[in-house]
Amino acid sequence: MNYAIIQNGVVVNMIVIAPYNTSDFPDAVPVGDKPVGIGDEYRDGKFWRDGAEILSPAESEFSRVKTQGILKRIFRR
Amino acid sequence: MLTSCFLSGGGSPSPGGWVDVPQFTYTGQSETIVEEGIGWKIRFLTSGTFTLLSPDRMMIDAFLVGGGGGGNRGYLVSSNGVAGGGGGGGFTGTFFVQVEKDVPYDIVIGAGGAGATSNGSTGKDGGASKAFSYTVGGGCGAVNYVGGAGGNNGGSTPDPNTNGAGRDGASDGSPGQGTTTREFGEADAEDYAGGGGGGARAFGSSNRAAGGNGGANGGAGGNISNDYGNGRPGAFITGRGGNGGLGVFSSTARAGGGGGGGNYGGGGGGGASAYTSSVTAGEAVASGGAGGQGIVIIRNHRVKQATLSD
Repeated sequence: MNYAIIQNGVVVNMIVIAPYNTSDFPDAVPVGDKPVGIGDEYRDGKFWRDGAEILSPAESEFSRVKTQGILKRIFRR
Repeated sequence: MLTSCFLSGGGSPSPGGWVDVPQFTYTGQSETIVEEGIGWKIRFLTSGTFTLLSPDRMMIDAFLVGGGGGGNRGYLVSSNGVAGGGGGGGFTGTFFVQVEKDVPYDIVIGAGGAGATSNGSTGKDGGASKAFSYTVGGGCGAVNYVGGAGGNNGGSTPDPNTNGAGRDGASDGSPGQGTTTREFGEADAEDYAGGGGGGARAFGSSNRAAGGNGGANGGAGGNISNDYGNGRPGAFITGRGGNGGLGVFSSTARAGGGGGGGNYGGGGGGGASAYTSSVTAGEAVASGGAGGQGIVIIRNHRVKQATLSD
């Protein structure tokens, strides 16, 4: 699993850690399937790039659908 | 600075002989390979802490590979589709190290860089791998249609005004870091960190173009065999090698994604672009592939000429 190494709120490296020894790297934050990269920011428990939160593909798609109002129409039924 | 030298044999031999597998602990994932009559290798697959238990000290060769860079997504320039470049393979280095018993040594395995998957994004750089006070960088993510730099450079794609196949990613350090990317710097060893292949560009009806192949025996680009579809991954082993870039078809135009760079540290393949006037612009481009993770390998110090990295 990929983890971001954070220094002063900035991602300085991306590394691979197995789930059972994450305690070896206390500065590492799991990124899941978010396309986080070196140079991105980390604050308030979230990753950011150019002022926008970095979302996973599923989160991006949900956000897109929600923006288009499709969910509203479904719930209205 | 590179140093070439003839290595002396073994350093301090273990009680059983210098080719004996050492006793050690490692907190991450590793695998030990015994080479009969030659010695042993330990491959560190995830980050952790290595501690030698026996012998008291030993001389080793260490081979480090950084994570591969991500491939770029196809993108639009004034309604012209442009394919994405392949990610650069991770940098590699070979080092001569003395390790001591009961001393914890952190091993860091660089992750592959994310491929560009959304409009306006670019391929991300691979992570650095570190061990025994040495560091090798990750490959660069591709930013536009030019392949990312790295141990092996990613393949570029045709420029915004040119149709055609994506270019292959580099192998064996050229073009790239300028020194071999083969294991422990040995000419007959397997190659690592292939550059990702560039995506193809097909503009106009019925045009077909193949993605570039990944370097270091990486994945083939999308080509006629898969109807100019996605580039193949750098390897069939999960986590090893870059991922292929996606191909795309647009009406009757078809363009193949770049193949993932081969082996650990391989760059991601570039995404393709296929565009005709009958489709919307957003349907004409495809995502780049993620780079492959790096690796650290150690072995007993060997009587063989090797090229060491400073």
